[in-house]
Amino acid sequence: MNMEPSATMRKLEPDVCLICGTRNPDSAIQCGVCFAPMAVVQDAIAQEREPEIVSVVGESNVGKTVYLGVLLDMLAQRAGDFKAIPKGAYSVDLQQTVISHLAHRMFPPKTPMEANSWYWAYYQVLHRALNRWVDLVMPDMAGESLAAEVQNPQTFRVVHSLLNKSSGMLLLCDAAQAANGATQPDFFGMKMLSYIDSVLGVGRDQRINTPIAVVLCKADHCPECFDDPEAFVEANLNRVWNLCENRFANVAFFAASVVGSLGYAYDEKNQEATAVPLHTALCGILEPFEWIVQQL
Amino acid sequence: MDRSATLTPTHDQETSSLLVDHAVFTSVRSPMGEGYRIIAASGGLRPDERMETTRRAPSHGGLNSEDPDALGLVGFPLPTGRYCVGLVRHAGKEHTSRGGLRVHTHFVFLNRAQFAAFACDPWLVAGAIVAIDGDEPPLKPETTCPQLCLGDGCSQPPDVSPRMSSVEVGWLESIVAAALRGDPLVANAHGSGDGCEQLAWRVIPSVMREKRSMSIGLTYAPSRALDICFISERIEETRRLVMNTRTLWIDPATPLPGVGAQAQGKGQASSAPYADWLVLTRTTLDSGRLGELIRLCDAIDGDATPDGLATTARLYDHIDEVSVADAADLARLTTRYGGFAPTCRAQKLLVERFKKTAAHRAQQLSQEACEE
Repeated sequence: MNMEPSATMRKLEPDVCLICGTRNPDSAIQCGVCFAPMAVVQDAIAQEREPEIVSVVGESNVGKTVYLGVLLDMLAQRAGDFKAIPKGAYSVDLQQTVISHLAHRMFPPKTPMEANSWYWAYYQVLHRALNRWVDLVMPDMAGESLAAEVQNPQTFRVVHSLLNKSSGMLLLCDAAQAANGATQPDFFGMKMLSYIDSVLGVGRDQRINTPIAVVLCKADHCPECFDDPEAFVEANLNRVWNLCENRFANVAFFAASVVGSLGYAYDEKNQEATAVPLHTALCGILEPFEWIVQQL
Repeated sequence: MDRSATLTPTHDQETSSLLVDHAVFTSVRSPMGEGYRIIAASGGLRPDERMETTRRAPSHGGLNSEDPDALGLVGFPLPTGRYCVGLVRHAGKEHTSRGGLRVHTHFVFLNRAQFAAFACDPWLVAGAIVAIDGDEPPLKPETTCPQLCLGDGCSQPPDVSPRMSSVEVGWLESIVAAALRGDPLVANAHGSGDGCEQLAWRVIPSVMREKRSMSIGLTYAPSRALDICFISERIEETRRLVMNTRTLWIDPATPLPGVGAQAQGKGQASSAPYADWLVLTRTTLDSGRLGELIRLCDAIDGDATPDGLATTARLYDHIDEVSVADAADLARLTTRYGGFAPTCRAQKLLVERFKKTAAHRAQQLSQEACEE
């Protein structure tokens, strides 16, 4: 089993941020520029292996926090061919928040735009079938911060640094909205891919090799997308599909669902309906991640 | 001696119309998407102002209190030279079933003259926004909305008791000292009286206020990169966040090292930058001349370097000195300010007052000589 230190590991310093490269005071808990936890670099040094960053991107309310939280929990429970070890208590916070909220039939709170409030997870993951360990850093970015950065680059530099360093990405799209004919998921996906294209900046004749898993979230609303996610994307998120084909060499399409059934609580006084996740029925959560790990 | 009359604020002519650009930052669902973003803005908002506003605006959970009526305030200078003030409040439930309340910020963008019409005081600007919005914060997405008229401006000082304990004075002086040096700070205002945060802001020279960012009532977030944050809830949590960073933690119980020491004796010279100004701040606060200090700070619209503020502080002291000077001291001081070139409005007003006081004293001395 390969657990040897990576031969290609660059020299990491405990006070230099792994994400943006800023030198911080020895005692800093978060990077003063991008607000990544300094524990990430300290844990990486302890592992003697530079971690791979896998970013989960998508628009606000698409389900990034829920997807990532549930995925980490599945990994921690040795789902599929995986075994996972969290490095540091901070890595467990996200899955704990998501799972405990879902257990109480609530969606987890929105991720704030303030980067210092984002959850970060650092996991040592063993893919048993490949007999290979991978160290993964996965931040839970706010969809609004991603949207603001995509709209006006340099608004949130941490997003740029993260995507630039990412070895793989999961682009989450709202399948329920797309199936209903909304164009917003298609446009956002297109903007995001176009931004990734400019961040990774390969020549116009080349296509980007970084693995990108396009994940159709909330697929329980349109179960047909489980049958053939690629065909669903081609039909309902056609702009995204075309851009993927033109600019990205390593893309795969998946459908995923966390919530089994959804109820609606209606507040007559304020005339507001609140969605209540009645139970979870995880479907298609591991597959995109497994594919990304295989590509690393 | 009260020099208040010399320091009455005067508004710039450019402020006759306080029509300002504005923007609403909140989370609503619209055909263009959902989540926190600028949902409405007037046409004069520039792209770099939008970026800066988005970067610094509070989002979900941004208000320190979960009370539906909680209020917060954020203010920061923009790269374009304008100053942005945002009134933050809750506007109903978060619409995405994710729990919590929707945070709503109504931002206004003021040029230098417009901000000066509010004595460079975000609290006063927020008061004008409240007067327009009332209890219903605007939630309608609009690509372009008209400018907002903020009325005639206001320079009213905060309503606080002029008599303060030495602890309060130490807290205020620590904030002023850090703000003058440009050190970012978080001030614990828990248990302080109403209006103490606004007072702390107002005893910072006006020209410095234009350059400093601030917040009150918001959860402390280092990523917002604000210079002066007042907090009165989640104290321990915030203190832990600030620890081991270059941001200063200012607590009433523990003023900054050195603060207060400079006031031990006026004759004691200190080489620390701004020492003279801090002595003036402390002695004025100690003696309950709060209104006078605020008017003086409001009038410092120019040179706020250590030398510039030391000159203003000396000039302020010399007005007292000259009012009781003997002939020799009167001659010395009058000569000193004979060809004095003021570098800010405060100095100009003080030197005028000095000259009047000196003339009055000369007359008194002349009368006394005649009587003898």
